[in-house]
Amino acid sequence: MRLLSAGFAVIAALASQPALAQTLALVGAGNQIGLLVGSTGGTVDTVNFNFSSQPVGTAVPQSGAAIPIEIALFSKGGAASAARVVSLTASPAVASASGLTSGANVVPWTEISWTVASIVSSVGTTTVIGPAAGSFPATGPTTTLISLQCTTPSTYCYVHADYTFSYKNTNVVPAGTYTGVIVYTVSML
Amino acid sequence: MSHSAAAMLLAIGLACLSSPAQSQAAERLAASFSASRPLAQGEWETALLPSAARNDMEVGRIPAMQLRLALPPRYTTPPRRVRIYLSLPQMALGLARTGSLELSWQSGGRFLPGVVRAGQRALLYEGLAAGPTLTDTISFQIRVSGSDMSLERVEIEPIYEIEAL
Repeated sequence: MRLLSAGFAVIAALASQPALAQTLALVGAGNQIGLLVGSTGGTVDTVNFNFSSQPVGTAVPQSGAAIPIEIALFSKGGAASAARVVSLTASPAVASASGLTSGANVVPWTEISWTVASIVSSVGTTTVIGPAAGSFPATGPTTTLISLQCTTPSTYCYVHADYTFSYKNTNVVPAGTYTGVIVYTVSML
Repeated sequence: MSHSAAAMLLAIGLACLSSPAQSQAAERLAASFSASRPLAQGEWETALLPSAARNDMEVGRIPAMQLRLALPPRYTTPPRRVRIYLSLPQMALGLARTGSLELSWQSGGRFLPGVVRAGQRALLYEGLAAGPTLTDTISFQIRVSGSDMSLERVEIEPIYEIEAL
């Protein structure tokens, strides 16, 4: 009798195997683009040009510290990921639309130029840096600073570039501390 | 007719009881969750970090729920000391490769916390099998490389196995 009940137990277990399935599901993360300008953690990095001991208006430029800029694409993968293009532009913040200001005095954004170096990208990434050197326009956004495309279906690709900014120093301007803010925007086409 | 049925059942029962290796080996347990469709929304694990620290890992947490395991009577009457393992099959729906797959969990204290990869098992419980069911709160975390996902949804099926000590 005990043997019979053991037999039943075995059969019951075998018959209920499909019902044992208790699955856990993960829905994949959506497409995401990433941008890092300078320091992490929300810090707004400042590039300083100090002319307290250098003549102004001589057209002898002064360079500031290099600022790392990175853009990244996290993609759901598949063939479509290879077609996505991510691009970066920069434009003056609203409060700095006219240029760097010191009270009523203004230094136009065209006085700030940049060069790009130390470009690193992930495997399977097409990166277009352009222009390699340039100046901010007087108003409005720059042309695309960096564009990035995963050349093979991938879920993650990135490019890192170091931007060094310079003050052209072409004009004599009233003494003062001129400040302005540039906002970087990354978008996926 | 009834004779042959009884004979077959008897044979199965004998085979089961006469196989020490099988009784020592892990036996799969029936399991149920209190959630009908345990689901984790994946997020990129390192999307907000600089490139030097980034990867393509996705991670998703399943809200805490009850995991109930049904223990066969032969472990519970009389109560025996048992080990229960959680294992993952080599394959998973929605994954082209399972090498990056990692399932970890926290428990309410009755089960052991742990982590397991595809094709591996990890200890979930060690102690007396005192009753017909063993229940605890459990919260799973699934971690997998986005590059390994062939579908936008991954389904994995943990297996629970018991063995008497």
